[in-house]
Amino acid sequence: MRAYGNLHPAVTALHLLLIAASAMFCSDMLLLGTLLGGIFTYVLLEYRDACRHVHMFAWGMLLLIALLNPLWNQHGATPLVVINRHVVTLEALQYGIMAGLRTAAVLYACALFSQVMTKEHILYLMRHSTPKLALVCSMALRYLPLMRRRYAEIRQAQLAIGKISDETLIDRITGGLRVFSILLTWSLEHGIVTANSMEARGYGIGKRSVAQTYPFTCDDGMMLGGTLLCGGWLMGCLLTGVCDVTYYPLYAAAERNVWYYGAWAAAGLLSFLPILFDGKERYRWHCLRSNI
Amino acid sequence: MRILPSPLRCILRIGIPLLACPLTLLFAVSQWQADRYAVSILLMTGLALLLFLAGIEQRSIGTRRMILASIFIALAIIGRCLPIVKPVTALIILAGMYLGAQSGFLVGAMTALLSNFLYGQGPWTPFQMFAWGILGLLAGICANPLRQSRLLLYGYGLLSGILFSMMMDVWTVLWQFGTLSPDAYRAALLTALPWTLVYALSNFGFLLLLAKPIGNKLARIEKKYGL
Repeated sequence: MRAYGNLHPAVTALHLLLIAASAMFCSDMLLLGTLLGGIFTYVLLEYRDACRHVHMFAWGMLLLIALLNPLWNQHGATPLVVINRHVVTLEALQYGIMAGLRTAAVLYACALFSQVMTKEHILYLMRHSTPKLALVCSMALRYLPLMRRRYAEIRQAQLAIGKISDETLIDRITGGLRVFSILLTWSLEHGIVTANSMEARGYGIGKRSVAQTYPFTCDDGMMLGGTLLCGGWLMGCLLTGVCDVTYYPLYAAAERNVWYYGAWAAAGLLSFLPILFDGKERYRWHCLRSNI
Repeated sequence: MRILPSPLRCILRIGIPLLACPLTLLFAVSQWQADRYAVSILLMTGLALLLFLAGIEQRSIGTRRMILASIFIALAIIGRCLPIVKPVTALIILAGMYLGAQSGFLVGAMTALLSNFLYGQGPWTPFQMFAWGILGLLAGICANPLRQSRLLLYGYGLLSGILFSMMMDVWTVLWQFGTLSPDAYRAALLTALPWTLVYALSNFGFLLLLAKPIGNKLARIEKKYGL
């Protein structure tokens, strides 16, 4: 059961974009850690296997950036060690950790985005706003399996009539090029035929209607409300500079006041919304099951 | 083919250059600290992409051209699955040369977007879309000289490998260090040097292999059906 993944595509897209955007604007380690924590926990709970390759990459990037920044950057007033006349400063290390956290948070948001927002979701969103582009994309995606099938077909035919062979490496390369050339001719000719038949059936005349495959439900409304409230509050705080941190020359944390803690709470809620939402769905399912 | 104007696209076409871009720049200059160059550049790239795509929606690019563009996108996505040497940029350049600048941008941008579903979406996606789109657009603008002189085409292939690497390095440096210092940029260019060479040489090699057959076929299609 993946309730968060079944929401309306626009709601999920907005939620994940808001998380990624606020992580990009944020320069405070606590807020970034909270954002990263929420997304990371959700990925671990729901998409552990699908996102296997992301873990190594994201945490590796975090370490790499945190370690590289003090080696490159000489700003900062508090020297830690001197390596070969190069001063490693505390502030550069802190900035590196912050930049690493930011990168990891954005990477996890993007990984979750590609898991939740499948091609169908994206095409659904594009169909409303940019119908031509959506058509080009869906045709390109449709050509991928079609071309593989045609390639195998052409290869078999060419092998059977003895035009190509796969004995040596050079034979295989020249044969592959020949098959590719035939595939290209076939695809281009067939593309023109498709275009002609589309125009003959009236493509491009008048307004096109769009099928509503993802209805907007009450759950979507709740999620959208929560996202807009938390995301708006957080972005407002970030853009007005309430949570701005100065790193160079001396580290100066953001002032801990009501606004700061408000932004922290909003970041927590925003990033833990998927978990809360799935929890709610689990509870509902549990209730329904025990009643039957 | 006629496309009816939609209010959303009109807003995009007028609103982005007149309002969104200047406001983003003003806000970035006045409000943000220096370490947010990456975000402001990402925003501007996203806006530029939106503007261009809205333009494609508005103008009549033609059903035939659209379908040929989608064939090239599919070929480039398949090409990206090859190990190390990839024909992606070569195919985008050829698409730009024979289908026009607009379709070249479309093929470049959509190849990056769709193939990243296989290779992982990230904050680099808009940059890749932009970089490949620009390479296709430039090939389309310089279509006539590139079609006439093979040597110029190979030169453009080599150059576009270097340009792609340089554009992506701007992004790497901005994202990791916050600002674009000459030292960090030089270091990033140096570390990426092997990849730059691979890009440039594979563009050159694939153009050498593909330019003639694909060019002949597209020229034939152009002559037989008209685009």
